[in-house]
Amino acid sequence: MDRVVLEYEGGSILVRGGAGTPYGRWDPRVNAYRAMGLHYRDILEYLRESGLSFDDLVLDLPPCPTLSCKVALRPYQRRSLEAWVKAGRRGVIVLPTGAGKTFIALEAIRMVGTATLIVVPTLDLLEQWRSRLEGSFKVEVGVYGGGEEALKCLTVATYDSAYMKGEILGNKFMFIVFDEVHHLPAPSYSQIGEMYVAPYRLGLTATPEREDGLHCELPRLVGDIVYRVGVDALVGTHLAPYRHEKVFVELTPEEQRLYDEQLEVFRGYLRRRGLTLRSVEDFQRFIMRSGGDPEAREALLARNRAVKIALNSEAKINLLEDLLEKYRGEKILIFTLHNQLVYRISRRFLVPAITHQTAKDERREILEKFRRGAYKVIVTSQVLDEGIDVPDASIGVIISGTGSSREYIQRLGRLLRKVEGKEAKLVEIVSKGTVETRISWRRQDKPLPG
Amino acid sequence: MLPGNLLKAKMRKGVITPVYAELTKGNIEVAERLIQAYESHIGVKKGVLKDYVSELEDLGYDYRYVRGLSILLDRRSVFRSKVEYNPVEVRRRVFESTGEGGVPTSLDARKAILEKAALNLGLRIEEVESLLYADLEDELLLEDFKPLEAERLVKWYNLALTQTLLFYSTEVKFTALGNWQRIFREVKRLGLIYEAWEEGNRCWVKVDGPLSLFKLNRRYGTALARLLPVVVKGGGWILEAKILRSGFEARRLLDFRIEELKHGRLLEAEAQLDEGEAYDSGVERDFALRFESLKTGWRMRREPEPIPVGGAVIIPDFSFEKGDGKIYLEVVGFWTPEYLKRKIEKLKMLKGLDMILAVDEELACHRTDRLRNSFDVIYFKGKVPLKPILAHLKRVEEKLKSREIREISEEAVLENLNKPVIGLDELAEKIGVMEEALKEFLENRGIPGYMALPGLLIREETLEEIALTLKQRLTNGMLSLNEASKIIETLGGVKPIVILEALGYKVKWRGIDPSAAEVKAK
Repeated sequence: MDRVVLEYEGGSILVRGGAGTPYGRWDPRVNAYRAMGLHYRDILEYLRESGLSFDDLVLDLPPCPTLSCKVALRPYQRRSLEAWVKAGRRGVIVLPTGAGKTFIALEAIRMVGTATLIVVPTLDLLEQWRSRLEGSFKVEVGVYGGGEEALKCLTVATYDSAYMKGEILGNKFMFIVFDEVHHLPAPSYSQIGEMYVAPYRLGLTATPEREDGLHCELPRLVGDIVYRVGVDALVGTHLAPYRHEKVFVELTPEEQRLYDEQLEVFRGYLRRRGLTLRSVEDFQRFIMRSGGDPEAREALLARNRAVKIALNSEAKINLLEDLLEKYRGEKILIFTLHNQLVYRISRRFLVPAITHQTAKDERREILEKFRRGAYKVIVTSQVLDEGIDVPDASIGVIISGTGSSREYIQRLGRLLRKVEGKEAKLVEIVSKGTVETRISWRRQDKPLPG
Repeated sequence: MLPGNLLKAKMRKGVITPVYAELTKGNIEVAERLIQAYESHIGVKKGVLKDYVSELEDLGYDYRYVRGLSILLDRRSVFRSKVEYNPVEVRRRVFESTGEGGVPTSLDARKAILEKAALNLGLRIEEVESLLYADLEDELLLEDFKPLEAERLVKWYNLALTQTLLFYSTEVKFTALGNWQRIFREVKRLGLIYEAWEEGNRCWVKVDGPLSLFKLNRRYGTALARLLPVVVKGGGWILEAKILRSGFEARRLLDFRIEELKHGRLLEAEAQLDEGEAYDSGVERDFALRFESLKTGWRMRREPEPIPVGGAVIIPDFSFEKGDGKIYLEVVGFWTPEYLKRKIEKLKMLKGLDMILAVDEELACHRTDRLRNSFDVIYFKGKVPLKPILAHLKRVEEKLKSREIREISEEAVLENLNKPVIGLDELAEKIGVMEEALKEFLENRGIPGYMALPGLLIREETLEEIALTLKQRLTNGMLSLNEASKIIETLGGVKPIVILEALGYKVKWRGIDPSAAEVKAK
């Protein structure tokens, strides 16, 4: 029999030389056994245990300097890392936002001391990790995402880039850190877990559970949850306590009239067709229908107009004015899903805006100035949603949030930075009498059109 | 490719078909109006242009069609921010002023901040306000637009629509008549894996990716969609795909099929192909020119159809055909000894395949001794030499000839002899052998009652009749070549000069005019 040779091809391991291995499947297209990159570790273990001699041509690691940094871990951070090591350097650590997950990752990277990829959900986190890694290890950091493509011993990539570049990046790392790992089990992103061969894996999140139940994939893709601490356990000691307020505003009479008019078009259509929209699926079905049916399309447009009226209500701007006055001098973050509203607020109050259209440099500058206190208020759409480092914002304002439970926690988390003697506040502004439009997108991650 | 929400498709009995825009007056009119809109909006804000486009949507045209066309036209457009002041700098000044003075809740406070920033920047307040977000997408100006014909836009749309559907495909199967080198280069570049086989005299190729082995995978959809334009360019194409749709209930695998015969008139790849990628190696072009200038009798074809070998394919650069003989030539670019060895092993799997490998010594990846091999490998520097290739063709021709001579029988010749005089080329083609082989057979064997003359076979009776008629005519005086030819042709003859010479006449030319040439007995 030929000598067994392991090769990497497009997110998979090719086992040449006729040896069947665990997870391997015969691929007649190339006359070799093939396995997902995920199983690299298992295949190596199997071959070593069976005493077969083999050539391993899988890894193609970028050159690495010695990685050293000084991280002082809190006791619970230390314990979580020990649990991860014990699990074979695989697994998920669950800690509330603000509990210093980044420090845990830095220490893990130092321990492993070799080519590492950090996968993050947003461009902000990409920047944040880059500067953290550069600051801690004093090395040049590679980046995939936001138009950059550079491979280094320590590389940060967005989930999108890590997914799209899976074929070429899959064999370049020994260790992979998934920040906000609850994104990973999504049908496309889960392929990152499958294509990359990295035997060491660490997932970090405050909220591993997914409403679609796909979190059951995490053990296969990253490893089991090895350590978990909830918000309650840390509030008061390591995290600042916070208060949540809900404020209702009424539409102006003119707005209310237009709103009711548009909504009636929408509801009239549903009534005539005997449709009810109770779930995201119902709503998607309705949107599909609007592709071919002009009446359904008109109903959809009317609904979107109604949403827009409620969202852009003058009353909300007035209330925001009051809040900005009330909390004058404090650091305030204003959130809304709708870019148009972001720019409207930015123009009205002359405060910086961050949306998906904001260039990287400007985004970085705005956040940096906010950190220093040169800017006191930022208005932003979804892009800051997760884990962005805004060390001491004490007030959050949500205008017409989606009500998603995960988003809710993550947004809170951003405010939960411990600052001496401060109580963080989260104010949610909701329009009264517009509940009907809120059907069905409660659980969606993305904003509905309009 | 278009965004998924603009995909128009019908599903029926497990088959999915895009709803193509037929080349109707209405559809072409919409395209025309959009093209005009882009042309007339040069120098105008993108937001204004897009508002105009959405007005067209409200006129009762399918919004997916209108928006799809508009997205394609965006790709032929240049949008740019055309302000002299950098809006980023304007924003910085304004927001810094807010940072110093506090958030303006009243409109007066707001004005004060703008005034301060305006003073700093040397601008007026109104300018500051309008510059503040002048770099947002909607604020960009349409600077340039490359128009195209409305019909081509509709066809491009249909191609893009097909690509959008293929975006959801798990595998694609196709055949085409040409463009193979480009197709396979693209397959490789896109990181796809193919299998090839022969079916109904055509080369079929199935394409998916490494991970398709493990589960239905839409990962390669984008790459498969990118193949479409090069396949379509190949002509004579048929394409089938499996489309994975995540429906409301469950994931379904649907069939999709298009072919040039039915859909070719609706699709066009030209509008989006960047011709810059077109590839033609100088070495090959140079060889083709030199070969064509020699009259070898071999029919040369560039980029003939691929040859399936154990699932993979070999794509030769040239084929040479003559009678039953077919020889391939591949010019090997960058190579290593292992690469050549593997290639030759692959070629040996194909019994009866005659392939010449021309290997450029200057493109060797390592310094290496030439491989000693039974295979015909020609090493060259710079230019593919004609001599060894012609020698190879000659050898094949000789071998073919002697085999055919053995195959020709008297019966076969007689079966195809349906007239008194026949050219050897015509007869050889009817029998299905090379002319040279037939000639040699006739020289050696002969056919009773017939006589072989250079290039033709003639019934002895006919020859006698011609001889007699000519003789009679000559007794009446001078005979011109024109006249003699007429006589011969009336009696069923061809190639009059050959026949005249065979009968012992000679032609005395005066100038080049056949009516002035005289036929005389030797």
